[in-house]
Amino acid sequence: MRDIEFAGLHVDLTGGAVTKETLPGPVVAAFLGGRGLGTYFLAPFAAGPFGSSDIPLVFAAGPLCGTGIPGAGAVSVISRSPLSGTLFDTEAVGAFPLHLRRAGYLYLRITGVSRRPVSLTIENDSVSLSPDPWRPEEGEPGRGWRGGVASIGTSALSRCRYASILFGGDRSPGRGGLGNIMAEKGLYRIRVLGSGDVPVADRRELFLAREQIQRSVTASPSLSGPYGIARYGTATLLDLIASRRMLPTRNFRSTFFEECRALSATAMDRTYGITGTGCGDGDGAPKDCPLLCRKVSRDGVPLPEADALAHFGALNGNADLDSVILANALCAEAGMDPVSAAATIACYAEITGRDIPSGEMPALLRKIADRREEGDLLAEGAARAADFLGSPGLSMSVKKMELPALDPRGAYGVALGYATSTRGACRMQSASFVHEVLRRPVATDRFSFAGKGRVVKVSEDLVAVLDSLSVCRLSALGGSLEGYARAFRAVTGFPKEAEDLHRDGERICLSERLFNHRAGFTRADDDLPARFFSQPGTSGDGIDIPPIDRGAFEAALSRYYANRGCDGTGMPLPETLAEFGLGGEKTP
Amino acid sequence: MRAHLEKYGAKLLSHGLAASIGDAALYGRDDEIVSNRPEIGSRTRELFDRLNITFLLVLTPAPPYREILVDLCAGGGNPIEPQDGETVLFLHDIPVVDPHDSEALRRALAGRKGCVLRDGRIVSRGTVSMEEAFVTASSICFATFVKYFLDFLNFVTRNGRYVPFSPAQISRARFLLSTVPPLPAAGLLPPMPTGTAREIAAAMDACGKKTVETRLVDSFFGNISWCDGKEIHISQTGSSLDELPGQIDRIPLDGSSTAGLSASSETGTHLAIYGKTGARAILHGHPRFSVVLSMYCTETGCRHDDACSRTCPVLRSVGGIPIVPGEVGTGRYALPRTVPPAIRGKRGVIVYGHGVFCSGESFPETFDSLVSIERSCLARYGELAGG
Repeated sequence: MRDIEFAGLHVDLTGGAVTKETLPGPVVAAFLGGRGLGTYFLAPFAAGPFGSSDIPLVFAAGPLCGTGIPGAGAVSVISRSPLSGTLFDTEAVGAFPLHLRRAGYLYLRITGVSRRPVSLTIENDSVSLSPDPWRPEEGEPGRGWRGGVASIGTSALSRCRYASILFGGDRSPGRGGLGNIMAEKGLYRIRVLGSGDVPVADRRELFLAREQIQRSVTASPSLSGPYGIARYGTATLLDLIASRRMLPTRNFRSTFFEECRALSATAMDRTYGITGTGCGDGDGAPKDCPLLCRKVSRDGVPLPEADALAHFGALNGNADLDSVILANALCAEAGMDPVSAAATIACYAEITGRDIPSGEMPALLRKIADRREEGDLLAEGAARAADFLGSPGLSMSVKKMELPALDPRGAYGVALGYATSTRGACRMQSASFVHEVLRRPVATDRFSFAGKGRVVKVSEDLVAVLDSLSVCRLSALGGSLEGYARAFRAVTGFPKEAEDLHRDGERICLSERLFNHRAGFTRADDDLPARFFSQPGTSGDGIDIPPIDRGAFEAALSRYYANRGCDGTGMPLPETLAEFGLGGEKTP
Repeated sequence: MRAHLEKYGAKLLSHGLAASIGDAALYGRDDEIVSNRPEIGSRTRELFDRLNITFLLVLTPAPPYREILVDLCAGGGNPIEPQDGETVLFLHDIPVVDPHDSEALRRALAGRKGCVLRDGRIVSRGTVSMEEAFVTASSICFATFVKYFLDFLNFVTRNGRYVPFSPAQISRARFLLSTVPPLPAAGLLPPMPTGTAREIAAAMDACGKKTVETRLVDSFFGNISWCDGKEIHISQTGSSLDELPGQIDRIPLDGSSTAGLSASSETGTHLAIYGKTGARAILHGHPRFSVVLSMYCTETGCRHDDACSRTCPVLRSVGGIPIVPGEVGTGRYALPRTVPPAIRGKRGVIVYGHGVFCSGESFPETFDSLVSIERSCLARYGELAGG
């Protein structure tokens, strides 16, 4: 076995220089890669003004990326979100991370601003930063390129606050508006092609770890069962969420949509023919994906994931599946987060007292992408739009990021996790729905806060590890941390057990919380919209959905802080920071 | 939190995993650590401080589990490596730790869900619920029981690469075998109506409870379903056979809903069995001697080393009940492919290193089949082990 060194590129857009750098071993040991590494690079920039050109945009893969570990093909993109103002990480999959690793790099650290649009081209050791004639309106940012591509879309040109970075042209990597940051920096696209082997310290041990993880993924009903994500994509969650009476409907005014069967993944399959494609399909990357969760129709139209399906559907009172799929495709085309777009429109509909007819949705989305007419306001996101219109209470957001498609009144760990997430309303960072709804590893009482302060903290740490190793969050529903720890040891040579990684996850979460606190976030921001404490959901089928008890929520939040090593305001205590070696960051 | 701990303390007793509540120390932490014990020792506090755990269980298991664990620990193998499917998939292996070595205990729990102390106690942990620690302890008892009696059988019959037993160990193994409680009689489960969803749920609940009460299987390791022609009613993933009310999913057979996403991880196998047979009820559990016998193999010269549970091509059986390979989930060697063709025309099928599927017209029929299969496996074991 031999230890592995990790290299990255520092791209200085202001000076037009690209420098190869080697990551110190202790940094990999403490922050792992991916989200953790991005957090490390961003840490010194918390106190600066938002929009400062100094704020880096980091693309970081994890050490497991490209090693054949099932589902370990993600890249984290990290910066400060124009939507939430928090430190923000979003995970993307596809050819880009795999080619980045094969080219010999773990990360790209992009700083400064270019006065003219440029593109970064990486072909193994050959790296160039050059003026780029390509414009997002042309589409096809990867035309003629055999490797991975990350680019901005048209909504980033207009500075929509939830403009995403597109990977492989038509893939929306998620939330938080980091496409806006990329556009602001004048970096329009990154192309990467790698042909080398990803170094591994112990190939035999890696093989055994891969077998162990693959067995778990295959045995997971949520992933590989007859109704699993591998078959239907995440859209399969919709029926389950509806059956638990926690499907956000009409801007969270109710939690059950009478016509939800029209939006079911099975309905989508009957009409469109769900076909699975996986990370890297069509762009020459290795197939490490056991799920093929990226679903398209038999005609190649991208099909919505659960949150987009639910929000363009139930959240807007819309049972027209065709219009939902068209809306999702328009968002993908413009590079716009469909969850924020749909939630902002639902909020706008409630404020104006007028549901948006499904036929009007495409035109409204185009206005948002271009910031035209009322689209200019809606491109600000639900929180700012509701504030401007004098109804701040009708934005269903946390830290100005709109809630996804799980009503917090139906699962209290989810509720607490929305509040404590360092990036805004996110159900993935605490992953409480996995035990509260999917019953993994075991079921917990979804209507109780008992123990949830501790459970949410521990789960956040675990997700931070997975994000930092490059494990896609869906694949992780099957695998266990023991298996990924074994893979980590095999790849890096670092002798870490699962619990050691868990502790690294704790460090990463604390670092993010510290960043946000320095950026001005406090306990008041770790909160849910008032509606969830005052209005019940839609009870039925023997399931009661009362409002959340404010006192119980606050008590659970306090217990979360105690477990996280924070004071009553949510600020990490000095002794906690000292224990994890945080708080003394210098600009890298 | 305290009620949560009490629930699992009671389950350890009712499942025969602990002889008295004094044998189980249960700990849970939200902001403070709470326990069923009056005091919380510094070593326990240290474990909570240094591990990202929410729940901890320290169990002195009831006979024969403790004796088996002490014997396996004395054998010197560390970790203990049972080869049943549950262990391979879930536990991976079972570290053995000196009870006085706090650092070794921390390291073991840092890498595994549970471990065994050399004095025969089990320590297991949970992240989101005490149920995880309970399931791990229960799995360790099951897996080591199966390994112990399989090792003994291989030794007695000088089969394969057997583990030697000393005369004292032989006596102990024979004694422990004699303490295995008698299996329940057939006909214990009365017929119940299954005309409505409520009646179906009640019938499933009665069958699940009886299967656990009679110690035929451990509660978490099994699933149960009913097919009414339009829907299957099936236990949810991770549900206990003795706690089924509110934990049954209904899956339309016309494929109009994916709400079965939270159903048992073996839903695909149930669906495939219903598709291949005219059965209306399926009961799946892990009776111990059926699993032992499924792994007792006298074939030689096989070319699928270490892959018996997935790819064994040999047609084996016990008492006319076929033994098939297969793994949970999907793929070429998945249970939905291997079990249905074998179960047609039979009362049930034993899956290598895993458990038994029984299908029939009613729950009493499947229950009786499970009893009968385990009885024939126990009898066969006795014949082979002699003494």
